[in-house]
Amino acid sequence: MFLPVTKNNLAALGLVALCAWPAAGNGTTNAVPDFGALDLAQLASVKIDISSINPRPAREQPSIVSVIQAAQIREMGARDLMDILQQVPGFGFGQDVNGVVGPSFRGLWAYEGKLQLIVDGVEFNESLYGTTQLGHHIPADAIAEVEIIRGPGSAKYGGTAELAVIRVTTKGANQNGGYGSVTPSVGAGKVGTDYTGGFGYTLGDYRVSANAYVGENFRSNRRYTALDGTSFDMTRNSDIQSRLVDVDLGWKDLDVRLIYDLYQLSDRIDFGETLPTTEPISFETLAAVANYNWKVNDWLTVTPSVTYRRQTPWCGGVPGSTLEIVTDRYIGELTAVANLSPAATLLIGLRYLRDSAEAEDTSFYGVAPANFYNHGTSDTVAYDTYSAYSQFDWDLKWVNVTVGGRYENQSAVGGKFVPRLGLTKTWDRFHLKLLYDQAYRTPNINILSSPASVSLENGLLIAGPPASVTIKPETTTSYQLEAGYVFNHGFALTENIFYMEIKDPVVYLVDPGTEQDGYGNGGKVSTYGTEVELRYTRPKFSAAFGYSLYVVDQNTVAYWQSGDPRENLGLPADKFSASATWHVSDALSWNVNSTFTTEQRAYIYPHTEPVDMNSTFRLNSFVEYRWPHASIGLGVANLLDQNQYIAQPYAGGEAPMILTGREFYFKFGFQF
Amino acid sequence: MEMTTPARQQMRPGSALGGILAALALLAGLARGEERHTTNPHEVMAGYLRALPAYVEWPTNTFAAPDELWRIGLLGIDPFDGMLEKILHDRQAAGRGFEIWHAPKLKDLPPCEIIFIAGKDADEIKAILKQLGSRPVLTVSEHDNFLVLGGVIQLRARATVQMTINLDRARAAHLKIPGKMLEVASEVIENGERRILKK
Repeated sequence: MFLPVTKNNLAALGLVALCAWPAAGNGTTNAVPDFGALDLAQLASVKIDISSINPRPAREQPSIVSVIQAAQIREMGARDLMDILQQVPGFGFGQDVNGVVGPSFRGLWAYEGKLQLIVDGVEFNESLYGTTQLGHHIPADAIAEVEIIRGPGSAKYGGTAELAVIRVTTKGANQNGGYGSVTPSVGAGKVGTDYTGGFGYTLGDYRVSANAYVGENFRSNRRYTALDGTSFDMTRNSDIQSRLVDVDLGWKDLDVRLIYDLYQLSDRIDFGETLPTTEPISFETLAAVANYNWKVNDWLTVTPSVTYRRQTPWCGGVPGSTLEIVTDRYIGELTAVANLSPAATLLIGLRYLRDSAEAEDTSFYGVAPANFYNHGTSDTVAYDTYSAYSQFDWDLKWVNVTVGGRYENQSAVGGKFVPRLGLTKTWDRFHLKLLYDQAYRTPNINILSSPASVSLENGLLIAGPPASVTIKPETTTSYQLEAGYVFNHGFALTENIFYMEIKDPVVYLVDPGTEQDGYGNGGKVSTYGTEVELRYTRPKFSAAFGYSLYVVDQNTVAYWQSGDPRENLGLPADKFSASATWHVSDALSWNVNSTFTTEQRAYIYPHTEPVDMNSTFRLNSFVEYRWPHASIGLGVANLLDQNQYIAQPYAGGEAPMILTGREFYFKFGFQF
Repeated sequence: MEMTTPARQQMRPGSALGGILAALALLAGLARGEERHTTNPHEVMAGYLRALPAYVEWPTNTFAAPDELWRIGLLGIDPFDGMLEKILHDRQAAGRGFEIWHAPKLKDLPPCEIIFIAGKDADEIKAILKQLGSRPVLTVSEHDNFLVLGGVIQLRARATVQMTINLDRARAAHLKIPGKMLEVASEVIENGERRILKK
């Protein structure tokens, strides 16, 4: 089913590298081209990849954006996407059922359908509930760039882009070379290993690139104590196995991509109790995307694209109580970008999306597959969504204006329009952004159509009717103001203040006693706060500092309340992050990075109400020495062996888990 | 470690993946090329600043000593975010290394061979160019009307980074622009007329 670590598959990965090796020599030695070595003709031919309508620096974009590139990722010794997000203000992590870990953002549990994770144009949120899984998932060594839109992206991206968007771009054809890395890590006697490799080449009008990853890791080497007092050592009971294959083929303006992703956990954390043995849960995605960038003339580009995605999320369980549902997603999309004048750009998009599911094994719910969907009448269900969206960027003398919106109509819950408005202005060293966005999230397949017989009323779990009868989409409204100042010599300061409000939030409910779960709408949840970033970049030394704070304005969802009206359950209010890299020489660099989060409130044994948990300080160090075609790195994660708690941000009966303590890892890499 | 397999296996692509990878690797082994991409046009513009001294000819008395460095002045906000320093580190053009100076105002810069003007409005740029007069300085900017205002080279981020050149202003500043530069320029202004060389 997957790509297990067999001799054959490792040999295939090795073959990738070996077959590409003879091409070495003509390619650059870095994944990112060395622009200082190019002549004028070569510079004039470098293609600019446009992620926004117009290519703009982050300070001019009509969003609050963080961009982290391969060089930074490499210098900090990050091993996966979660390591990278640790350094981004506003992001935190929480725990769902079955030991799954996902992101929070600005004090809100973003993991479940409120944040969109896009890898090379494919949405990685699973279709049943919209969740995103983190921790030894999405290998850092394969990443060329992570672009994070902090704030709603629904108007452009739709669906789950409600609080934030994480866009991962893997290394592509522009490498004109390849790379490979092996990263063994050791923590308290347990060994994990990441194998990552890939290549990318262009030949005239043709492009080809591939990235492959095999990860055998574990979540923690600490002890887990459930709320009933039972406990176990996670060292050999929290395995994470991850696979990724990402292949891209291009010819002129046509691009075809195939992605396979598998993420599997085997641990003993269940719905509020500890299991006697580990139980596997896997998330599997196979996706194919094709798009054609048709440059009609020098001012108009039309891009038709089609996507097919098959997933088997939340698959697994123990015999007699398993779940396996296969989902299919078909997307047809047409976008047009018109550069109406040097100062005005118009984007128009149309999208059709079909989500369907087929229940194969639903013994976990005690229901036969044939009675799982459509109020107990079918083993299949399908929803159609039609969207139209537009954005107009207009650069005026005094201000740059962005006006846009999206209308989305879903077959189960109807239609809704969400607008966005952005005003941005740069004055020499100073910039200002004022952003207003609405976002609209349609509940996902199993929220709309599972037979769950619990629901939410006045913030409390009650018996029936099923959510599918009463559930409403949730709407987010966001106001953001960002100001930034660039000092001389690569020294920049940026700060934003935000207010985010979710109306009718879709709330996951679970009764730990009966394991009955379901969904309902809460009343309103809102947070406000600030995020600060300070960066200093010089050739020999670079440093970044981040701070984020959220305060709860309103929370009517009892399951998310922490007992402290200023904080949501399981999500610390303050986060500090810092990273410094010293380029000792061209070949040697040393990075030290850290995160500090203040106390969080969570349910822990033996308390029956949430209590304050200790603050968390995580310090990491990474030293790397590079030769032209090879590198070796030594890292220490969680150098001070502190407890980093990952709590459940809702009252679902799980106690906080503690991530791995001090861990040593090596990175052996080669590139050609 | 043996991977536990969930109850039913809907997709079985894993067994074929090794073969697909191997086939692609073989294809990749055959393929080579020159196409380069970036998401940040300022990386390319920094490359231009590194490359330009190898093409443009300055008056012979520009440097007092053979080991004098190229001085690049960055006037206004630094759009390169430290990248220019990285790209020029240990680089040479026409046998000389580089040094970079940042300043908010022209009077704070030492004499430079190249000045990149960033984040200024039209009136400020006009004033700067007026102060420079006919000094042999290669002025570069991203400003939309830079050539009309009297600058020598404008860099524009489009699908690629395009270079446009005001040959009249270059001549007035005693700078020689070789034909090789015109081969990659998208537009030039010569004798007061704008000519589109390529789209």
